[in-house]
Amino acid sequence: MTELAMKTEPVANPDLEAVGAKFNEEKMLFVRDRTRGAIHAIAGRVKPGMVEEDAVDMAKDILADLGMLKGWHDVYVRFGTNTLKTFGAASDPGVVLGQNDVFFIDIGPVWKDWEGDGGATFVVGQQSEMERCAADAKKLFHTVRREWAASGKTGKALYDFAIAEASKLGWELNMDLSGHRISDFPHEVIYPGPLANIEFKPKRLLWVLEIHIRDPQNRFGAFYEDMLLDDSYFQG
Amino acid sequence: MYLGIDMNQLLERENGDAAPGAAIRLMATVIRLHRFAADVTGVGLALPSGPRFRYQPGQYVSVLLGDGERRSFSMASAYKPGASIELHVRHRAGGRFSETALRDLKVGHSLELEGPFGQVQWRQGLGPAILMGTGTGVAPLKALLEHGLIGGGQREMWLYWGGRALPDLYLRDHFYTLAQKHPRMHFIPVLSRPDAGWAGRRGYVQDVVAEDFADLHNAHIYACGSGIMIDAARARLATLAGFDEDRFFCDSFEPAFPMARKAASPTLSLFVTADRVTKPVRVAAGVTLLSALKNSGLTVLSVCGGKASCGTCKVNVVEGWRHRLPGPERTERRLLANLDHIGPGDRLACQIHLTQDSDGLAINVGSATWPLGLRHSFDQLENVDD
Repeated sequence: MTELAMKTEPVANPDLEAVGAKFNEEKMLFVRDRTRGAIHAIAGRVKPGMVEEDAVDMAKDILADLGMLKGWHDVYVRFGTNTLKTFGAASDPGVVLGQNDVFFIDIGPVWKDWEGDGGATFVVGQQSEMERCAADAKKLFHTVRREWAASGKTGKALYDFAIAEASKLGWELNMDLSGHRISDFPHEVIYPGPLANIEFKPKRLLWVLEIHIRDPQNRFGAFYEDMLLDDSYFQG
Repeated sequence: MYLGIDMNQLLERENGDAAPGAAIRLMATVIRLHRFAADVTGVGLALPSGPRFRYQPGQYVSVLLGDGERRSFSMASAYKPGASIELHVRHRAGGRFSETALRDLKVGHSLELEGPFGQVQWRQGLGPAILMGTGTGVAPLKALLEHGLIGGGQREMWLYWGGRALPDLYLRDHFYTLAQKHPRMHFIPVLSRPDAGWAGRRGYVQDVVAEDFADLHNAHIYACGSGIMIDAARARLATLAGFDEDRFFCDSFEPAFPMARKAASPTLSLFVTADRVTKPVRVAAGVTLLSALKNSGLTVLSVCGGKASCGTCKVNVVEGWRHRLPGPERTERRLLANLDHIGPGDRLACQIHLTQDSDGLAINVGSATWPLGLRHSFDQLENVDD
């Protein structure tokens, strides 16, 4: 017996959007707010002359004070050329933040039973190309997010769109960081794979969109990450 | 009467020296990197002509990462002298090999291997061979299937490959083609979360096998995939007539570090207690307790991949050992202080580095906070000698 009749390519698998017993929309949004707040609290303490490892340690102290040290992934604060590194890759050791430099923060804190995840890029001093890269990461995040809101694009189509938009801006999009589920802890038991791999339109609040762009000359990169939500959550 | 011919035995006779299965270390060269799916890469490796690396279908090899850590992967093809091997690597966020090393891996790079290892091997017989698996568990099944087809004969072979959606079955076209060429081979894709247009089998592989086989007399069953799937398959199929544990062969890929399995050179004894039952585990020194537990076959949850971030690998060190281990460093102390329900002796398995001085270490893994697969994987360990 062969199964040739079964070769129907799927267009949707919405069960990848299942949630656990403790999922709570209000709590997810609450943790999202706390996550964004933590990112900016950490960024406010990062200063030129600081060694990256010390910044990571400082970030963990801040998260511990906020009751958000437990995380579904490690805490990343990347300086300078380490902003080119992809998720999980070890940073080159001992990188010091320059007077005119770039850094990004990527955290995935778990507050009580709910996961947060967020990232943003910051520039210290004056370096116009780094500033443009950081601004474009955030701009691209919103461009793709609005495309998601306005269209029926699948996760895969959204990242195809993101690649093209990044290219228009002169950056390379790192597809190793291409979005993922978020839920009550741990989302990994539902779907550990990338948003860029799903063949249906992702629902609000259940996914994070990651944008990691790199300078084509490999000098620096920029990262922005937040939940897939409509415009009303990004005002102010 | 069909008499199965073991092709590997024939090959061994032709080559006429070392017994198959003897583990050796060797350097292999990456000759092919193929992205089967968004989260699965095939790594083709050419082997040197020097030390002969021979394996049985269903066995696996360890990639040595240079500091005592290793990641193990099954060979995805039957053995052929002089042929390359292929490993299927599932990407895991933060995975030491599957993400970090694999990202930088290029054709021409070298990898140090040790192997082969593993007890899952093709067994001769007259009844059906039922091969069931999920995810990259298909790799050893593919090797077994190829071996069974090479051997000739009339034995029916059934491959049940499960995934959530069709793209998860990244070699489906290969198996459809194989089934067309070999009428005695049957490919049954099984989707647990298909879209509405899916006309094939739905659910979980063990349930579909149970639907298709009311009687398992003379059947050999090969199950490869997550510990949870294997637990479920064993429990489900054991309810069928003719099920025989001696004809059920399984290879568990751990969920968090999917390919970490038995260590090659056990040198330490650990004593692991769950639900007031204590069992010994033989492990290699030089790795973390988390890696050692996984290498011993225990299913351990570690969401962050050993970064002291998630706390899911928490264990309790028994009282007599708490002061014999080096104390937790700041990173671990800080996280433990941020976790709920922490008591004396609680440690993160990912932060305890095993040395020769750890011989005899006793830990309690509790039960309530461990993943479902722990129960079965713990039961699989041998009991302490009375």
